[in-house]
Amino acid sequence: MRGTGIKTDPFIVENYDDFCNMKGGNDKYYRLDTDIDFSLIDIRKPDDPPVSVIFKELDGNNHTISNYCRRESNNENVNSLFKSGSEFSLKNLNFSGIYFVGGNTQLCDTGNSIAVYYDSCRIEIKIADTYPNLNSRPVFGVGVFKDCEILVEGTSKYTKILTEYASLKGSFNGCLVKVNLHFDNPSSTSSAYPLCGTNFLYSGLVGKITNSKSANTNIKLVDKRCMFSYIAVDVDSIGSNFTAGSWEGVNFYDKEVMANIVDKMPSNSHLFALTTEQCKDADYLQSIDFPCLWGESV
Amino acid sequence: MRENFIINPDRNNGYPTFSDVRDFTGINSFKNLSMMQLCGNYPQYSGWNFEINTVKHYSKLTYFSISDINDGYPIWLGLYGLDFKTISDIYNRDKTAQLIYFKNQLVKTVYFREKNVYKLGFGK
Repeated sequence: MRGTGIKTDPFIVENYDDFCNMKGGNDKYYRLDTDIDFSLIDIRKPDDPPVSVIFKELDGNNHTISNYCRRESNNENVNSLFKSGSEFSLKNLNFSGIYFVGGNTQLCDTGNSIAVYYDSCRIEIKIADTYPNLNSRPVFGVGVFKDCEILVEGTSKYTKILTEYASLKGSFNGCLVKVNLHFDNPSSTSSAYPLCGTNFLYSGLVGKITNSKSANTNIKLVDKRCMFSYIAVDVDSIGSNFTAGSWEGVNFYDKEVMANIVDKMPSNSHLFALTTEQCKDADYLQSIDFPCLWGESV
Repeated sequence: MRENFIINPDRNNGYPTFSDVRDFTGINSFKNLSMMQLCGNYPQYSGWNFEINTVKHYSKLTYFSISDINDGYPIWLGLYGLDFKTISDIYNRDKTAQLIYFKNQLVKTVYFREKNVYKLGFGK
């Protein structure tokens, strides 16, 4: 592999073999010089182990890891793409068509308390999480996200998008998160935690959540700190909780999209219940001091 | 670090977004090549058994209505060119895994009607 692994001269990942050998050490830097399309490689077998890595940072260089599907036949095993025993960073990296079937989904398996830092990443992931009880690991472990776009679709019994352990570090900062999830909770008194334990800062959460046991399913979207963020998630129903530990600055939710659960939303001077039209009106949002302008996207 | 949202009616369904974002409006990353792997004691799938509601066998196409996948909604599965014995094996949940061949070619792709194309990986 070209490069020496230092920050100014990272190892250059030029092909699949290089990709599977990013184990230089937890002080080493890597940079992708190609897309990694697992569908073209097609040599993996179900239940094959994930890609074991040991590095400090992988700069995706705006390349894409795509069409990775891993099936885990044991419901209680972790189902992941990367596996590492120490924290690491991913930046400028796209994930597309990532599909985890079975087990306990965790994109990067670093255990329950080791952080993975995501900077300017774009992640599209589909899950069919079958972990059978509440102590599931979250899809992103202890994920620390900055300036990322995230789409999570699929079915789950208890999946959290981030983590209860994220009280240590986990956060979304400057992120757009879209969910399309169905919770198939086996117990009528179970809980679902799409964004439990998360600091949610300058970020937006949109999408849809349905529950097979809707009457008694508790959903916590954000329960740490929410600041200058918004939520517009169509949830069919929840049990009792829809909380945040603290609301700071100006936050809002779409009371029309979330009409089913408006009565469960907390009352707080830092949280505004807006109509859909107001949510999409920069002039109105400025009037409540939400940091938003009319503008162009790339 | 992003600290200012923008609103562009064509982006993020009109909700606040960021100027450098490629949002997910209209995106279906699994539209063309979403892979679902079946192996081991198939037809067990992702921890669940196939719930085959309907089987219709035609000369070249076989359709299953399957629940517990596709976000729980039934979909039609066309297994192109499989013989009826193979279909019976799939229907029988106690069968151990076996490779599915059609005209001596390993069947690796299954088309899910109205939804995605899934690629199957079979194992012994």
